[in-house]
Amino acid sequence: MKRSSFLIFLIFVLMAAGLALRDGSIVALSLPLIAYLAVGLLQFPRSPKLDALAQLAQSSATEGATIEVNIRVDNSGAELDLIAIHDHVPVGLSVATGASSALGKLSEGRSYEFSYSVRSTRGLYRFENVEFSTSDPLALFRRIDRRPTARSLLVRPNLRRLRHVELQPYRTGVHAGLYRARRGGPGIEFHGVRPYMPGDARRWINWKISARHRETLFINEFEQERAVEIGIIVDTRSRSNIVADGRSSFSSSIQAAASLSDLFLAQANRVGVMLYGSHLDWTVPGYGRIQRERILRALARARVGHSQIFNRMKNLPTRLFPPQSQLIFISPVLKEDVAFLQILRARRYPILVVSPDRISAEAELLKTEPEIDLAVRLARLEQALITRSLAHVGIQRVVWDISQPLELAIEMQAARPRRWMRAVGARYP
Amino acid sequence: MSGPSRLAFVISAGAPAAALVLEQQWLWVLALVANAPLGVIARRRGGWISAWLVAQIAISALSGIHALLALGATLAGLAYWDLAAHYQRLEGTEQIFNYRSLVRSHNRSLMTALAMGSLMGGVAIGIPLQLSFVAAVFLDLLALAGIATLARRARSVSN
Repeated sequence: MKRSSFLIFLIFVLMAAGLALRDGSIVALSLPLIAYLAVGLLQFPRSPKLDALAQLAQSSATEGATIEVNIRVDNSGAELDLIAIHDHVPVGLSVATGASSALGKLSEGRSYEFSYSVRSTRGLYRFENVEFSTSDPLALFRRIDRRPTARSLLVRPNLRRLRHVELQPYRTGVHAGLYRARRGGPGIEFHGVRPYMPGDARRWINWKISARHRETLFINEFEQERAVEIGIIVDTRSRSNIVADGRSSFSSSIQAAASLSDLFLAQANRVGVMLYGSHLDWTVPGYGRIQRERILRALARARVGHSQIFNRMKNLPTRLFPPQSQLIFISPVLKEDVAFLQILRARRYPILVVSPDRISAEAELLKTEPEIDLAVRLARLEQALITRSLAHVGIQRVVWDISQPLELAIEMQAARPRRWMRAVGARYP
Repeated sequence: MSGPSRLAFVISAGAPAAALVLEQQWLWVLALVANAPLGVIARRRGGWISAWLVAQIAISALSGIHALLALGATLAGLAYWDLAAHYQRLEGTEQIFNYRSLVRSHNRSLMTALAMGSLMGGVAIGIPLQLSFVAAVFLDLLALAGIATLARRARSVSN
């Protein structure tokens, strides 16, 4: 019950009791309460003239960073005996230092400025308005006003820099890049020999072979290195990401997507990202820093969700990806997704699957009991079966234990063995 | 509990208790004694402070002590109720600006309200007025209509 309502109720009761008992002294007891109410009402500020200026020190940040928020309130009206200022902090951000609200007295023509900082988690946040609650000094009556101070804060996922990811694309672009194009031309890796053509550089003549063929000169040819068209598909379906107790492996998927897109764009590749889950969020492929920013924005907004339409992978619009372009599928991979990936592979899309290890994440939450251990072993067997089914059709899968760096998992499971290892018969894992 | 708050509590509970002890009204003294811990707990918990005030005014009004003493106890109870809420508000806020000025203006308003209340109450008790029952009902209804208007206005100003 509001304080003013309580007092009015009390006055009413005292008056009624005084009348019922025909006792004037009981009625007289209500008079201090009436006086108290009257003082509050007379001192209540009728039309406060307040302005607010709110600023964020930066409009974008990376996950875990602290961002300072400055609030300035100007009073151009009469003196305010009791004013509470409150800046609504969006859900998902937490106040790190200072306080997002303040209480005090603001004289005529004066202003008050305060700041606090918020700790960020990945997402796109909007600070809508600053709220003022002005009251009389006795805090009996209250008036709430809001001043729109729209500010947005983009918190990008944390990037873990990767050095290189070995891909074997079928098709490469026209621009120079780092991936072997399976075509002869300028490059570093030896590709083959071909007859000398006028205009070829003399230093590439292979003298040993040319010596065996008196009529013709042969020159060394190298494998061209070209940029690749890469489509990154991030599985945002809740059924494949939720582990237990509302926790999910999703943040790891987002981190992997951010790190991989950052690497591929830095290597001058053309990268597009699709978030597939509650809806389709498609970032059209592009090059360079602007594309990197676009992708990071899309990843910052990404949320786990559920949709009847996108519940199964078969509704993924593959026509958005150019034929034979490289696909990176970031998902824990469910059993029923295997068939879809096999179909994609049959359409000649080279695919690399990066799977955050859900089993390890879930096992950490459970007690160590024989039944749990058995369940974990069975789940791992099922995952191994999925990996084998994918490998059967030439899809590489990297199972990433999220307690380890992604780079290590890629190095161990997807890297091409070094030349000397290949020479002694080492194969892809 | 701050100094003025403690003083208000002691006056509100102590003055009627002393009068009732002198008149040997032990049942009412017991009621006052039982109500006192509620006031102390309410100071910390917040929500019960209104219940304490209701009990305090009810005891002062119904125990039959002198009307001026009951008025004093009500004023002190009102001051305690106000100060408890005020300090709870301040303690619940992490950031307070112009603290001294804020407290000063609150105390000034409270003193004004108490002075007005004691004046109005004192006049009402001090000047004997004989009214017929019909006139008393009429005046009471008039006062209630005034309070209802006040309540409507209160609702309109505090949105």
